[in-house]
Amino acid sequence: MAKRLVIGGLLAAAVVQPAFAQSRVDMFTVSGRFELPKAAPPLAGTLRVGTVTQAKDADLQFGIGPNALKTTLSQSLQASLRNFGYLQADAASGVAINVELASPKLTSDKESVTATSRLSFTVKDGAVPACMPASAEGTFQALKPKKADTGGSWLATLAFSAVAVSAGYIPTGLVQSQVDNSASQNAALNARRVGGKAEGVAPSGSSTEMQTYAAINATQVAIADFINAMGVCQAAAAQQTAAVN
Amino acid sequence: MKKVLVLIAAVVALAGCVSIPPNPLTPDARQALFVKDVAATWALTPPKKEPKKPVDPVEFKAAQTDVETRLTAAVGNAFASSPAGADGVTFKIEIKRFTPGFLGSVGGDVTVIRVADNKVLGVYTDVFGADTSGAQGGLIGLAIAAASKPDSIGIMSNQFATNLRARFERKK
Repeated sequence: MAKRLVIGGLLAAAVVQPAFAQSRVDMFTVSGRFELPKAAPPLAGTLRVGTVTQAKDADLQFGIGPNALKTTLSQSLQASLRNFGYLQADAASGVAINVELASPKLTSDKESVTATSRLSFTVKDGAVPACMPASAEGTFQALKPKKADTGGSWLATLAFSAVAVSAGYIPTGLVQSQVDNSASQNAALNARRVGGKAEGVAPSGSSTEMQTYAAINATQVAIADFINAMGVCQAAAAQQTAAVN
Repeated sequence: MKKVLVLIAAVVALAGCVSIPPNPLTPDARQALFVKDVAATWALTPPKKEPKKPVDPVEFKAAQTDVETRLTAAVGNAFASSPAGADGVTFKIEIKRFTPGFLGSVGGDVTVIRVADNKVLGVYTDVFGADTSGAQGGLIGLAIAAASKPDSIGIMSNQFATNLRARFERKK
């Protein structure tokens, strides 16, 4: 039995890798999960992302530098447009949309941080296509994660550590192991919480990380609002045309 | 000193032998999808009494239900916002190995199925998750972890999801 445990531990140590941070671009991108209407003619396959600008200090809310934010936003807008059939594959043609990101507005209480993000869209040297909105807005509430009750385990570790240190044994590995266990249990607990489209459990309870999480997701909801507005408008226009004919 | 160096070289060489199957999905294919649903099925039956370690089939059944819920939640969480493509897929987990309790483990294959046409895009074989509570603390750590009764199924489910994410991220 003991041999099986040791082999199991070794195998786990060989296979287990640190948790992967999910791609930052993907966190802003509107995927098919949003179930928004797809593009239809004449807007289908006609748009591309032009310049992306941001209000002064807007990047501070996102935890990344201004250039990184512009690049991330540009890539995620491009991916979002592609997902719903609006992207013009040829970078030299199509309608280039210029995007400006305002500083997200943040409010917070004991249990959550709420961010509202606003995007403005313009088209340089050309007529704005019908059904393309001039602005879009998204709101997201980041909830504070719950913590698993590992008090008993921590107390046992600390008590044992005190005894072990006094006996000349420094249990650094043991303390680290307890930190890992605690993190795993928190993740297990939070995996069972259910969030809506405009709210979610933040990966960490620190106010800075909750603000960042809320700002990123609010911007994603704003991009979704932009795509949804185009889809709804196109569907309504198609219905009108059908009614006239 | 020479012996130590030879030993280190041997350990490094052996570590390199831990083979992980190639990624069944290309980077382009991965970017085009998002995980819409995660489901778990069982490819094993509750064990009958083993001679040395009796397993209560009722308790095992309860643990099976728990692992099914927690495993699907953990995998869903690991792929919640990424990838962010247009095509919805289901991750179908076929659980082939499961040992409940402290230092238990769960393992199986994960089939990626496109929702639109039920096409199988790829299979991640032998994904594995274990409750290694206290393993880093040696025997003392194991003793304390056993006494504190950690959330074994939660831990092994999260490790399974982390390992699957790592396999999914691999370039080749």
